[in-house]
Amino acid sequence: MEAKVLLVDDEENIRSSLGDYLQREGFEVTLAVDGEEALDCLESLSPDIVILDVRMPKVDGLEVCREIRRRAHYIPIIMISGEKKETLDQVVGLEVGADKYITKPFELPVLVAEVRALLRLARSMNSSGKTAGWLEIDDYLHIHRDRREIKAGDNDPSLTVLEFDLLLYLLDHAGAPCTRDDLIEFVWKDTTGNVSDMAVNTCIARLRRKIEPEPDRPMYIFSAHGWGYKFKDL
Amino acid sequence: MPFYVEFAFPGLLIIILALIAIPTLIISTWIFFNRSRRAQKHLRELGEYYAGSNRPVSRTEQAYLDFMRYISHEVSNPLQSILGGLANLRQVIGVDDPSEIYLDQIESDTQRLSRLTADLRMLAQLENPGLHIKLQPVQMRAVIASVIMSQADRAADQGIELTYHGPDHPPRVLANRDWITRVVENLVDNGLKYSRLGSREIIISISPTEVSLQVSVSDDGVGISDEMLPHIFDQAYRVPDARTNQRPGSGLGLPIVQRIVEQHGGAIQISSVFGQGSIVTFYLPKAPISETLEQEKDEFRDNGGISDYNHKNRQ
Repeated sequence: MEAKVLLVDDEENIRSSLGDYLQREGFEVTLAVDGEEALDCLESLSPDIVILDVRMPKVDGLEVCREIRRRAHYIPIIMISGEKKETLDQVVGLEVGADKYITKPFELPVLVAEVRALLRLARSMNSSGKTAGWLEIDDYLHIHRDRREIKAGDNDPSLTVLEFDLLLYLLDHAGAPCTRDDLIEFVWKDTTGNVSDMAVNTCIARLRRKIEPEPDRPMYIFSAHGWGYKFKDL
Repeated sequence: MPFYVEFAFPGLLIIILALIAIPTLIISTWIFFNRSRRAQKHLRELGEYYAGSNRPVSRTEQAYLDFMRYISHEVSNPLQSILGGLANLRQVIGVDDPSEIYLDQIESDTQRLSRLTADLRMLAQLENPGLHIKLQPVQMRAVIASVIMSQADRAADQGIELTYHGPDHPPRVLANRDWITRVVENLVDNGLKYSRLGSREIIISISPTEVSLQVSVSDDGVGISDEMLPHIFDQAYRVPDARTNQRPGSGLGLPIVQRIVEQHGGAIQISSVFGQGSIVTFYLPKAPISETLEQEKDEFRDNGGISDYNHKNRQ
């Protein structure tokens, strides 16, 4: 099933170029010229994801964002703006409640990658029954954040607290290399220099043995130039 | 009026004024310092630090800042539309289409404009006197490692190795992680851009001093001549022959680096030997050691040298 994207931008050229591109990438796209129009079609359309410009006439992107957040059903929101996020936060006086913030101008494949990642996350959050809460990385590896369980092929190996924390941290930064120093600081929660790089390597090796079909030829957790590790791009 | 009164009067006035002024001065100075000390203490307690200056801004400066902000903002929408059109064209035309070469040209220059816009926006943000940005303790080795990881492939293509020299656990600095990453990124980028045939290595090193952390990025590239060196932090200044060599860049890289370091209360210097390479060194204030950290250290000692996590796990 094609995911439904609601794209809201008052600049016609941007609306049409992003819309066409997303359509060719396999999404069902609905366009809105401003916040008012976006809010009007929200109910009938029930989009899977919303891409929002911030500065728009009538109702602006921030107001639309607030309105969507009032609903029970979680809809991921990507904000696009000519201003940097810090500047905008400063103007508004609070954090913009979007899932992702992208500054114009940006490359379109970047936007598509973000859309796909957020849709995957939303699916695991909104699904019910047996699949509820399971994040499906691919057919082989499934991860359940809240129950702290994983399925790797036919196995469901149990991970230690630290191994699971490490996996989650890498997953949250999927596609971006994480340095050992950051893993020590944010997973081991150590800032005293007592956890060695070796401790990280050992834990990664254990984790690979549990989740990788072939631990010697990893397909999920890669080494990154001798300085850290990276979870595969989602 | 007797002559002594005539002399004594201004003298007396000065003495009286001095008697009033000196204590006032002392008290107000005391209040001022105490206030800033209290403010600092308060900030420490909150665990929050901000970078930025509250210096007054002149009208010309304000006009310049508004103009920069306006330009970068008004340029980003049309640029976005061009990038969008290009991405669509790429989807539509087949592989090996003869028009691809023109698309490449348009795309590479559009990307250059995008980078320039982003740099202008960054500079405008950095020069904004109302700027305040949150600082946190940052592990510089992690910052350097992340830059090495992101630039290693590009460096390897040029036959250059990115290496780190310094302690495994240097003391942390008080910084904004994104911004300070940008500093190291820009400096490594310069090293790669201004490399020469036979360049082998860019070394990023850390050495802690009493109150600060010294970070250096040194290359064995083309270097900068003595006449050029004083202008190197000027906006939009690029080493002249670099322009003819078509090295991509906005010429805003070093000004951005300098302003970020200064916003952190740090200092930066550059030295270079023409034809042999350059070294940029900057200093950042060390992060104060928090009480919780001290506590952790105590626990660490109490555990007989086993860190908290290992300790719990063994139990």
